[in-house]
Amino acid sequence: MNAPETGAGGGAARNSPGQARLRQLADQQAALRRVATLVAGGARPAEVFTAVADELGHLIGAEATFVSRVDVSSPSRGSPEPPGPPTADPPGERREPERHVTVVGSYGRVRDEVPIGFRTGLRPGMASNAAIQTRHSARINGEELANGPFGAIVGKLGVRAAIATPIVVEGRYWGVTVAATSREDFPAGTESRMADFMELAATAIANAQADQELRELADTQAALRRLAMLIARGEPPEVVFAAATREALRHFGNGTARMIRYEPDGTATLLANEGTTGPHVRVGQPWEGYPPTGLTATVLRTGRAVRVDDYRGIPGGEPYLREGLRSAVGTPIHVNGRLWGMIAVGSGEGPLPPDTEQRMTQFTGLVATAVANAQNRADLMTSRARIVAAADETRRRIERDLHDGTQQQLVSLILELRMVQAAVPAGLGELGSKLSRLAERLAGVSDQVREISHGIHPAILSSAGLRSALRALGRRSAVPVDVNVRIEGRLPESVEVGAYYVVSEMLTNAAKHARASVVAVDAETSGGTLRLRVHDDGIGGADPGRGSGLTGLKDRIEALGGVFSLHSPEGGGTAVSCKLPVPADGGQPDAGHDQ
Amino acid sequence: MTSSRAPQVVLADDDVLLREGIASLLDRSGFEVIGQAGNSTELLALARSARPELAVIDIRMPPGHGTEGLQAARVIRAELPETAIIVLSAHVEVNEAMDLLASGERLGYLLKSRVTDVAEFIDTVKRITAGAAVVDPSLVQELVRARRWRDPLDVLSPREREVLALMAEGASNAGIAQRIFVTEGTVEKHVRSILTKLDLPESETEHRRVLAVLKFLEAR
Repeated sequence: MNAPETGAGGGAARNSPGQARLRQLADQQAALRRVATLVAGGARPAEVFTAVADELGHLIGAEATFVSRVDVSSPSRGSPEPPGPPTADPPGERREPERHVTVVGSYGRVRDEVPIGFRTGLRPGMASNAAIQTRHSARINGEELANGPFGAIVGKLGVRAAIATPIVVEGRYWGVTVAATSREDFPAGTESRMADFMELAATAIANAQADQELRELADTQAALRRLAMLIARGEPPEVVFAAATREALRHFGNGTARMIRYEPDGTATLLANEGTTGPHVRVGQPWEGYPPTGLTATVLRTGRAVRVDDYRGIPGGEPYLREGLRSAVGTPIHVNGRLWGMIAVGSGEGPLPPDTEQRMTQFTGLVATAVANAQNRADLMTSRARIVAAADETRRRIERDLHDGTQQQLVSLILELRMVQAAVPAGLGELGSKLSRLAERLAGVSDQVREISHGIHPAILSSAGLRSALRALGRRSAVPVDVNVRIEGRLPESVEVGAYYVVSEMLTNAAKHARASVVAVDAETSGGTLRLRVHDDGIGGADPGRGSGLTGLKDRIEALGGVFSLHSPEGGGTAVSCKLPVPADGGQPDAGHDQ
Repeated sequence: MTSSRAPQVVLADDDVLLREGIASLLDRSGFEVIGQAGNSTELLALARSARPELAVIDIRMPPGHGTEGLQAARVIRAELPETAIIVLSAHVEVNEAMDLLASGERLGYLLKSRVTDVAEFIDTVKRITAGAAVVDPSLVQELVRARRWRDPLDVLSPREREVLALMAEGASNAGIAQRIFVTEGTVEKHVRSILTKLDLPESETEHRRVLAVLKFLEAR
């Protein structure tokens, strides 16, 4: 639109109709400019809608204006009527999809009666309804207004005339704006002025909306990035579930968000809860006693997003009402093409906004990936730990077989040989000494078997625990070792074995490659964690990429859910630090002689 | 125990072949094996009824294959303090040695494979039944050879180290003198010097001396 030529004509024709028209145009221009500036400044859509309502009110001299969105929704479950003024509509007779308007911006002292978020069905006798139906501005006044669906509110506010104009954004009926006055009526031509303004304001609304969508997208992306980082850090699935639920609450909820998993046996588990709670809300426990027409049951049955607009209409919905919820929306989480669970958000107020399902579905689609990753990672961790434990168990069995079987048999054989040797007659001295040499060689084999079995699994670890085993390692080291162990009692076997191998490998490294003169070993348990630090004063420069021994250690420690870090600068010694989680009840029974 | 009668022995090991082997070795070497057991329950029943001079016990036995032999040894020591005890193990650990030694004299803690060095094993068994406390030399070697940063053992001469190791194995001063070809008086001088340098107490009994030296070596 071109700039109006306000200066032309000077003050001579101040009150001519042309002048008035020009001033109106100038005002309209100024109003639009203010709204556009707001949009450009990144204002939230709610602010833009309010500004539009504001400017419109001033422009046409209305006491109250409303900007409302129109949506078409199928009749909602559990809510025969949206909350709001009682309707004159006869029940039944609703073959047409229901149209609703939701107030998104308003001007004037109307917030008490018609707050932002006020939602109502469109019914005959409403200016909005007429505007939507005819796609033109519609005016209602006098008796028709006073006896219409909003008669009560109209009376309370003293409204005597109302005009509604459809808002068309990008060729679609986006909503409707309503202006009200307590004067006798609006002047003639108000419809067209309103329509003119709204036609231009629609661009601002569209921009604000696009901006909002972008911001939401960025927001969602940020939320997902946070979740992905949790997963990458190896946080347990419970932490990821809780975080995803928190994000859902932040984005869509108005009080509560929950994550529920459907188990293969048909039961459900409450994985995370944020917001309101009650005795039926037990995180990590079976989610039971939910109403057969509620979200959990319906999502499970249909695999689709579901809403409850009013729990008062849901048989068995009392627990939710008691915790302060009125409405809720649940969207399915599909993982690998299977219905995995549901994220639900709830509100203590009226129905959740109509686009909640759609926005949540996009969100949960992405959350599903995060959830699947967390689950896969947890499964992987468990299987890694299992593999390590199985390998350890095998080594322990081999060690036992060597000690109790092979070595024992060798000792028996040598003993027998010694008997034979003793029985050799004095005249066969050479035979006797041959037998003796044979026995000595077998004794050498027996010693070797003992060494080999020790290398396979240190028996002292099983019998006496980590402290004794580390001290024994220190004694056998070629490099002097300062062992400092502060551990009470026994730790889980896998933790003891893991820590043992770290120290063992580091001592070997210190002697073979690092040219160290001393190694310090510190091990300590506190707060459910074993902290192990091994450092030498050698040449450093150990490369975990090349040294398969160090790589193996890292794998082993991480398989136990631990953290392994290597610091080995050239000339600065080699240090390994490990943190291993020690489950509170995971310790082995104490054999009783680990001091 | 009279010198004319052979010392009576009970044997416990779940490996029958090895048990029979040791039994026949002892029988031929001036002992009388009066009973054999395959687990610690049988052993305890046997020891209580026979009250032998010596019990030779495998440390690892059914059902747990842990340190059942050690526990049985403790019970026997408590109930039959006169019975000498030798615990045999496939590998030796200082904690187990100290644990056992703490219960007094006439005790041995040896690698199982020691039985194959027949003459020395029999000699050790005789020393133990006569009152000695003996720890397997391989364990003592591990303790003495362990390298320490600022090692307190650095104050000892090489000869004194040698004497210290033999003390830890449970040798008497006379035994040490024999092993390193010096007089008992020289050994006594060495021992006094070692105890002073390491700040160890004089012990009235040999098993206490062994224990003190082991404790020192383990803790340094």
